[in-house]
Amino acid sequence: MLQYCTFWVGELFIGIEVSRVQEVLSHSSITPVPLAPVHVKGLINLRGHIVTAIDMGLRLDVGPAGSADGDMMHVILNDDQGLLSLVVDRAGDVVEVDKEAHEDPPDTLQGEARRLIRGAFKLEGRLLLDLDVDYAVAISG
Amino acid sequence: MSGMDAIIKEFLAESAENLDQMDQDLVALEKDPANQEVLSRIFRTIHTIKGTCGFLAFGKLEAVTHSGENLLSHLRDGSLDLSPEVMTMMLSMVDAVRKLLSAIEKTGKEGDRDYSELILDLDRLDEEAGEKKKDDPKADNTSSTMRGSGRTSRIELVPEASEDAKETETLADPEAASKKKSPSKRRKKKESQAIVNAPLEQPVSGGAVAGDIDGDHEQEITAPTTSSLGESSLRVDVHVLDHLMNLVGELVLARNQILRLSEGIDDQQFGVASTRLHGVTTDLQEAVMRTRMQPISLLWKKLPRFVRDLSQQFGKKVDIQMEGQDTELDKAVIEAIQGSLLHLVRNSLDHGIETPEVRRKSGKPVTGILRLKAHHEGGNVLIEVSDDGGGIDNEAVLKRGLEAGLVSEAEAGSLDPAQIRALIFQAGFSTARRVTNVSGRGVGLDIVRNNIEAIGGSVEIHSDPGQSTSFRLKIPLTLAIIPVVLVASQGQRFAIPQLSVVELVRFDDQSGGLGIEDLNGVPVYRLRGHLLPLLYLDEELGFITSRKPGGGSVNIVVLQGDDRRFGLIVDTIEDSQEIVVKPLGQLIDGLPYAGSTILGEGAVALILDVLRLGLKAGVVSEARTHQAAPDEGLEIAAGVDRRTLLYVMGPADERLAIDFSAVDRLEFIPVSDIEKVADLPVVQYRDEILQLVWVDQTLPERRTKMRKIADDPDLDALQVVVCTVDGMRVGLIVYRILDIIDRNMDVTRPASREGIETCVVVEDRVTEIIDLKALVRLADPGFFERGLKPSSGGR
Repeated sequence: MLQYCTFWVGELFIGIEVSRVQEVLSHSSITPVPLAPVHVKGLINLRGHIVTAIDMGLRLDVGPAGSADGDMMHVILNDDQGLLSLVVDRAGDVVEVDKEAHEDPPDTLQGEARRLIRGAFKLEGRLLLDLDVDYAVAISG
Repeated sequence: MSGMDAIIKEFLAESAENLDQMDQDLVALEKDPANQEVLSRIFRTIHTIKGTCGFLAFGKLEAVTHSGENLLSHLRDGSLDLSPEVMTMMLSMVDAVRKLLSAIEKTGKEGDRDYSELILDLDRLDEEAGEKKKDDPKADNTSSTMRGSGRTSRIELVPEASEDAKETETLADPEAASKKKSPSKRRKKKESQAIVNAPLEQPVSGGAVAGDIDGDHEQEITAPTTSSLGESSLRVDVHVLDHLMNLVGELVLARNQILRLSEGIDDQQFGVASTRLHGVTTDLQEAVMRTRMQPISLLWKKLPRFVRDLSQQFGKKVDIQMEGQDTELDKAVIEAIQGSLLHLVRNSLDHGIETPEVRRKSGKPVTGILRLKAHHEGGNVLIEVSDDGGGIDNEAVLKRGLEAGLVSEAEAGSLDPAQIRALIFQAGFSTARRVTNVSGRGVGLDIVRNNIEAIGGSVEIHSDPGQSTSFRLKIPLTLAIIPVVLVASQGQRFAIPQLSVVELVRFDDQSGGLGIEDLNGVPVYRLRGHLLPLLYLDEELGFITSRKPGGGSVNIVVLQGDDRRFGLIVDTIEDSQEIVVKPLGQLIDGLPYAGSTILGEGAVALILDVLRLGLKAGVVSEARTHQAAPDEGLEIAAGVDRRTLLYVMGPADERLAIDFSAVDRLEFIPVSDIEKVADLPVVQYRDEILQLVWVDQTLPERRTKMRKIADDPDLDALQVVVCTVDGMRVGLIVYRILDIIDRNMDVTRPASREGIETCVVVEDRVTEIIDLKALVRLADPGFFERGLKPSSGGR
């Protein structure tokens, strides 16, 4: 069994391995970075560390995060590249998924989202999309 | 300095500290003879000195301290009472030790003074105590063992003693300084910590006491201790300093926040308190910064060996000379430049200094000299690596640049010496005829430049062909905290490193355009006669795409990017403050930002990378000239931007200039003589047909209602400048020739219209220098292709 941290981006229910996630928080102040790729939402100050925030809505091509009700959450990742934040619409629970239940991404996924989602897990009543985090935060964007 | 010298020096410094402490301790002991802790400390000090000087073969010092130690051991085991006589003897002993140390420091020898009397006195007391001890069964046998075993055992004690001293030194405890004030606290500490080499509050007090007792040499006693030997130091873990540095960084931010808040609070007391906080924080920051400073010799001391090994490998003879070893810079900076410095040294040895045979042939001393110099200049450290080798062969560099495709044939001809030398900093360049295993792989100098520039420094190169080459590195003192100017554009704040800021200019632009001139669509500002190209920050950052001309005040931050100046127009200039630089993630690589920072109230601000901003906008040219600063006295760079120009006036009073080196003759040609061949103006001139170009009609027009030269009704003869362009002769019809000028083109900017090479300011007027080739092509695109025979020798 694997533990996945889940969140919503638009209509998409997405999960990433819990071990990649440092914390999930709501944060209000973002400093935009002019000239940066469009999905780089900006920089946030996380207790004295500068974190680059990536708008997952724009990254997945489903419209900017927070466009529904203005709320957004930061899923903070800590890896070799330093701190990164995935800006999502809503955070979900940590769920356990069966590695065996991994399937190919649904055909309904199109475009950039198709490339970023490497598969799906069938949960009760819904499908959890398995995000390729490394690709999602790759420099080329 | 030999290894032995270093040990002696350390021994002297250590002993001086210990003796200062001992003076205090002896005085304290006199008041409280039962204090075993103080007694033990005194004993250990003398024991350590004795042990070390036995090792260093200072016989007299050893004899004095040996007797002193024996006496102390009796005091310790209670077989001797601390009578005034004993006390005097002890202080005399300390004075003797001090005098010996001072002699050793000055001359390296113990001197001629005889201490046998003192030793006799000490031994007499010692013997009395020994006899007393025989009668005293309680006394332990420490002292008798020591005395009995004599010299050999003393030597054996050495390693243990020195070890002890080392250990306590590394355990240096900041509390030690205050131990006198809080003896109870100290007593709880382990003994090894209690004898730390601590800085002293009043090193003189002990000396003064000693002087009272032994008045005849008080001067000798106090002078050396307070001056040279009085310096105290302790070793601190680097991590502690790093942590301290971070904390100070945060404190600076908090201070900034308080200062910002205090502006909005009308409370005098609060204002005073925050001002005080400001002062203390600034001092603290400076002090902490200084703790991280290390002499550059740390880096350099590896070099003699490095140079020796390399020169053997290359079969060269090289002497290394160093100047300014004591120049201090931040530890992080030292680490950052280490590789670059080694590379430059390697480069000098490999490519700079010639083999002994070559040197002999060219009449130089067989042994080459590699010279390293360092000194402070403003907020920077200048490091120079120079050699007296073959210098840089510009021809070879240019050839290699062409081979490597770094410059085109067309560009090659127009490069000046500084530009050619700058080629060696380009990636993929190497003039080495052979690839050695240390350098010459075509990577290196470009990396050196990148590394140095990455930490906010710069590299310049000077060369005197056949004589010398020198690389000058300009390095910032510290990387962690930098002063910046905060500006805002479209409501977002940005930080500009103060290092790049030349000045701030603000003026009211009420007439909607006054002050800022439009040079064919490119805004420029005339700053004290110099032409300053302008950038709008909001445009550069893509906030807005078009600009409505409007009044209001204009804020210009005048920036220095590389060797060019330009102005950045921002909405507001807020204030300057010191910030802690934080790196940006890889996602934001390649953009004109040098990093980010957290401002006082917690907001994140981007730090603008001035050079990249300038490059992006084209106001700083990519082909950089790493030339000497004008005040260098080195005339190598003087030719760089110095040009002789023919200064002419157009019919609408505009100023143009023609590079004088292309000008053959100046002629008056009657209007009636002008004929037309295939709709192009020509004139018969010295038995050939000279094609003419109407300068005013050829240049793309900026203004619609411009007067034409031909419109002038009084005109009967035209002023023609006969030039040779690419080996072909052409006559430029100008309106009026004003002057021939020869000057440094210190402020230039790229052309804003076709047919113009660059713009400069001449006598307070914006002057466009004509690009002759482009101009002729504009007038007659087929001119150069028609293959007319060169009418002169050509250029």
